[in-house]
Amino acid sequence: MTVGRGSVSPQALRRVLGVVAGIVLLALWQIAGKAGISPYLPPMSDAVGAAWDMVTGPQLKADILPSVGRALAGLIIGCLLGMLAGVVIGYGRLHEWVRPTLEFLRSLPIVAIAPVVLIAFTPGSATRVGIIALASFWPVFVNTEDAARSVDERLIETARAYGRNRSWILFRLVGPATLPMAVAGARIATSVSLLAMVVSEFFLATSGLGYQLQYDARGYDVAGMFGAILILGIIGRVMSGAFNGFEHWVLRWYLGQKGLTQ
Amino acid sequence: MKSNVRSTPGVDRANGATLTAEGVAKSYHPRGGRSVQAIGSVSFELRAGEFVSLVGPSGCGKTTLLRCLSGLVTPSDGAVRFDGETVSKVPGSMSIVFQEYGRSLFPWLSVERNVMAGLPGVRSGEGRRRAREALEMVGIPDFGDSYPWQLSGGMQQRVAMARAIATRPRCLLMDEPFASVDALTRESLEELTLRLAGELGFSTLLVTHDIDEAIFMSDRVLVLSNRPSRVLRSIPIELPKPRDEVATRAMGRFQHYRAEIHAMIRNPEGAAGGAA
Repeated sequence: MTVGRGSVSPQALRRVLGVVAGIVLLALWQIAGKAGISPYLPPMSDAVGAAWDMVTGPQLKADILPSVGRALAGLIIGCLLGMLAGVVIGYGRLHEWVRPTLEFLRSLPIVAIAPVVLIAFTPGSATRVGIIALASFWPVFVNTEDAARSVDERLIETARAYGRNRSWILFRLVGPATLPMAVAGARIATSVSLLAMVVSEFFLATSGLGYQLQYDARGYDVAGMFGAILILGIIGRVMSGAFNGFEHWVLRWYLGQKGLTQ
Repeated sequence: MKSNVRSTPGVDRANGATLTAEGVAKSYHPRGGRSVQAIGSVSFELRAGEFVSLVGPSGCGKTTLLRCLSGLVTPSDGAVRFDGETVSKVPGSMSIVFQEYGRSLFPWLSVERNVMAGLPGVRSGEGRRRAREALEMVGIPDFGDSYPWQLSGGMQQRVAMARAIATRPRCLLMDEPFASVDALTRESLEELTLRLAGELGFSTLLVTHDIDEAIFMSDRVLVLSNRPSRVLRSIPIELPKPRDEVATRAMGRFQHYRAEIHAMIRNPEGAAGGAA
């Protein structure tokens, strides 16, 4: 297919349309806010202004970066523990023993657990990271455990035939074999970690984006709330974009095998 | 395709191990079902440097028998000895090539690393050297950095062969290794196997459902009965070496062996001779 001079490729056109639609939505928001249709909808410019003030002011170091740091730390810890527990419990056939307990624990909402944990332990950064890790743990664990129970028996037999021991089979075989499912779980965990971060900062906190959000709510600072939400949205978008890159790198063998890379 | 399979003259047959089956039996007990006897009582000896094939009707428990002989599965009765030692796990100097190469190679490892995965306790520098050497011997020296799924079926099976010989085995067990490749690829893999067995001097036990393949490759063919399987006959294959894909198969004696084994598998009662 040849593309004539001056014409635009369909993909580029679609991308432009997406951006245009986004700009139109922002303009509508601005118009609706300026028209004052609701006291709870500030104009877009006020929200962006509040967000800009946060990012350029002392709040960057006091609230935003610590929040992001805790979210990332909790996410990574939760994912690693989820993979470890999933591989050991799934491959070790401990499923029947622990399933009822884990199914119950898994269905407890993190929003309900967070205050209890914060009261029980010191309400510091480490505890908040723990809450985020706990929330991030489940999707990775459930997926990994499921995959570890169905690793191809022939691969395990091959490893045994060549004298590989149990720990090699567990970490060098079952680990990588379950990685595609673990990564799918980690994608969910990425958005869950952001949720858990905000929730963990609602209680007994003196800083952080969640704290900021709740502080602004108490003072009816609607523009401030929208600013914090905008920042959260951008953080979430960046994290999921970074995750795509990470997934392509870590699963290049899997995507290549499935013919999913260009 | 003209081909000469050389069995190196004066190979040190002492490098090969002996594998002895003494009344090996295996039965399964499915949950809530009646126990199934897969293997009746199998006795034979694979001698040092010998190439023996196991043939039999489909579903006669060939694969189960191979798993028992390798130590992957414990027999319900009888014993397997490797150079006189009772086998309880896979012996260090035994290698196994499985039928489904696609399922026995690790897709997340490069070809070279797949070969190295078969070398526990070997330092990575030495392992890499041995992997390269093995890949060269199986004719794919330039594919070490590829992933297995980037290769054709025949080449994947060569990787599995490289992994098997990189351990410097004294005995090689092969479970229908060429069942899922096309005819020409199969011929070249058969030649490769014979050449490696000749050069490296290991003993080989080949499980196959292909009677022609068994005759072409072997010093001796063991014919198994239906389940519960036992050895019906041990037939020494007295065909000249080196074997040739075209000339050997055209020999009158080759046709004679084929007819004999066919008849035995179809009508086991009429063939009850002595086992090895």
